[in-house]
Amino acid sequence: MNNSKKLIILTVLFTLVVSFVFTNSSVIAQDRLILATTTSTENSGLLDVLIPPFEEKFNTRVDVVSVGTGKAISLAENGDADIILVHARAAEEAFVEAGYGVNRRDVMYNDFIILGPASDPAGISGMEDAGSAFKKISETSSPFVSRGDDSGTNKKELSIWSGVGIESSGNWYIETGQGMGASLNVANEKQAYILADRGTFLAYKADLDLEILVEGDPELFNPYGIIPVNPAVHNHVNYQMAMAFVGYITSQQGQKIISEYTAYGEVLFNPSAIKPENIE
Amino acid sequence: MLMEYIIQALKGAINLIFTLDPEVSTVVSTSLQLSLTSTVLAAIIGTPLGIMITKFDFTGKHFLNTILNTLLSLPTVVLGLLVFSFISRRGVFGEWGLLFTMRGIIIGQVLLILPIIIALVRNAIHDVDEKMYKTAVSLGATGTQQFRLLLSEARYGIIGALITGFGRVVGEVGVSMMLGGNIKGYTRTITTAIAMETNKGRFSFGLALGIILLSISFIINYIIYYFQSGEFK
Amino acid sequence: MKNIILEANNIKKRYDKEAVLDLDNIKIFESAFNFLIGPNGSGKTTLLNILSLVDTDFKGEVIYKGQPVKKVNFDLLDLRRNFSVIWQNPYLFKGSVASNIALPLKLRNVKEDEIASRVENIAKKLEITNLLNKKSDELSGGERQKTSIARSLITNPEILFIDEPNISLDYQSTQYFNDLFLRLTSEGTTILLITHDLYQINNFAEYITILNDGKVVKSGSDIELDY
Repeated sequence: MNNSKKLIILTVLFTLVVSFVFTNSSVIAQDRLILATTTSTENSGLLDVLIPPFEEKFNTRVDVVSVGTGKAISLAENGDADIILVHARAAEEAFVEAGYGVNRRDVMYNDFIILGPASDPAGISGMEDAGSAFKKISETSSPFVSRGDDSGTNKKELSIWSGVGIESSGNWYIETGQGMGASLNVANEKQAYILADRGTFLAYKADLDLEILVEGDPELFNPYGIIPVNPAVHNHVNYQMAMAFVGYITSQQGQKIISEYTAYGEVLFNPSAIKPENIE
Repeated sequence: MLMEYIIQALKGAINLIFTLDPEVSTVVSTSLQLSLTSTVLAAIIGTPLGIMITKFDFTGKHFLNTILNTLLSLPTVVLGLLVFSFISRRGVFGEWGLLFTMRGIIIGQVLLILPIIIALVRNAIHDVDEKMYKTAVSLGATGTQQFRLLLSEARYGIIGALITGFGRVVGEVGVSMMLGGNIKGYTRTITTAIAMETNKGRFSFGLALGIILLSISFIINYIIYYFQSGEFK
Repeated sequence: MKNIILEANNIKKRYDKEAVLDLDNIKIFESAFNFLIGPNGSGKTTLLNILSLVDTDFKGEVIYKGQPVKKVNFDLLDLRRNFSVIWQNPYLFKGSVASNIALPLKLRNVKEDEIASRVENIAKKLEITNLLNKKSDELSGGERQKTSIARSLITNPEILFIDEPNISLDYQSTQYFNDLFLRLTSEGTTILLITHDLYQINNFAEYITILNDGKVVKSGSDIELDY
């Protein structure tokens, strides 16, 4: 083959080798923290604002892996993540109980809302008790969309059903196995009821023909916890940096960012490590 | 509403390209780095293997060929799961810290397209006339020269194999997602970004990214054909 | 009486448990027009492949200029580069006629400009200059054969092995190549030719070996055939 072809091939190979070398993170002189969290958390956009100041201050790269709650916890149990930020209280407690996590802190909470068609066939609009609203939906066999994916939202939904002693099944109960956005689309298509987190709803409000029918019940509060992985169980985890992150996110600086974060014109999260009135 | 999605997507794609949206640029560059590296590595490993399968006779050859052909149908998620179980901290190679890195993705992708490349190279070599070998020997070719002549005679088939491998790997999401974690700015590829946006319900943005992916693939294929054009039939 | 340049003793070859060749002695004389003839399936091509050292899967001894040939890569390469083979239905590589003809020189790392002039010369000699830029897959049977002959001659081989070249050639070309081969032997090239052509056998053969069923039936310089 002629010389110019050889040259091009060599250049391509050289570029590849160089880029391969540089994909080795240890070449870049930076610390790394793997944070496993849920898709709804990442999708809210909060982390895009919350993480950069921390990265700069501690010269660390925070790698956010966002998956379902179940998987995030499982990653932490395996030691594939250094720290988790999730919203599934029962699962969090089990995680710490089993020794996988240490030094858990409350970080913030957002809330869930029950959405539904304007026609409201089950007549739940304005109800103050989420459990009773669910009961009415079940009794009228009105279409209800569930994420059915073991996510934090899903777990909350299931706990409400079990709270009023209803086993949710039947043709009216639709499980999508997908994320919040996709499930909202399904509920929209079918004009069904759905439990959603406020943040994702706000993101898609413009495209949805669904309304907020029930909100404000403390049972609908969605508290977030941050938990470093226990270095006693996995000695390779970046425990120091994880603790630094816990410190940051529960500090004045972190809590302030959380309290001020808005999306679509509304505040999404309420800080819970420091009382709002004490944030400077 | 389908037409609206598509038109929005097309507009979106053009906008993203012309404004050189930084997130999209990062994601595109990551995809290219990964796919090109994986394809080259799989080519280096797979081409000699493909040649050996054709040239050597051994017991179980039939069986091996059947397995190879079966692996062509391997779902990416399944392969992703398998490799995940090996490189997770709990896995055999956990100590190497490969999970959620580009290297991890590359390992998975190389394994993904090795069967394709081996099988297609095998076919390409098989199609070379038997007489070629005797002719090369009688012309006084050394072993190395014979090997190069073989590659040269089979080059269309081999390049076809590489293009197929590249296509498979640039458009896959199961392996990248599982092993890379879709980490923003690091292991997020065009395909994992599409999966994420689709999951969020942002279909037209997902489609826009898809259009960008196809455009890139088109450009690369065009360049390759251009280089062969002198001898391409 | 010419010298023996290549000799083979006790050549035995099996193919799938069947004995394909079982020969006692084969002689090839230097600068002579040696002929190898016999019915189809008698093993002529197989023998030609062995004598030209293209096929090394056999039992027995091949002796070149009095020295036994060792089946060692270095030695084989040297000898192969001294020989040339022209097969029936030759294999041409992808590319132009010129690049095919140039190939054996490229393999020997001859310089580019020398290659170019030698290709030109041999093409002129064989009257195929007009074919040089044609693609190898665009040629007729006769053109392919001529290209293959040019490719085999460009290295000025010491021994030229030819397997029934007339098949694809028209009458004129056959005449032309008969003259060419005769000229080559008079210039010192050794030729071993496999053929059925009675005219060639009766008029040009200096030494004939007759094969049947993998065995030598007869060999000598004064054999006349009339079947």
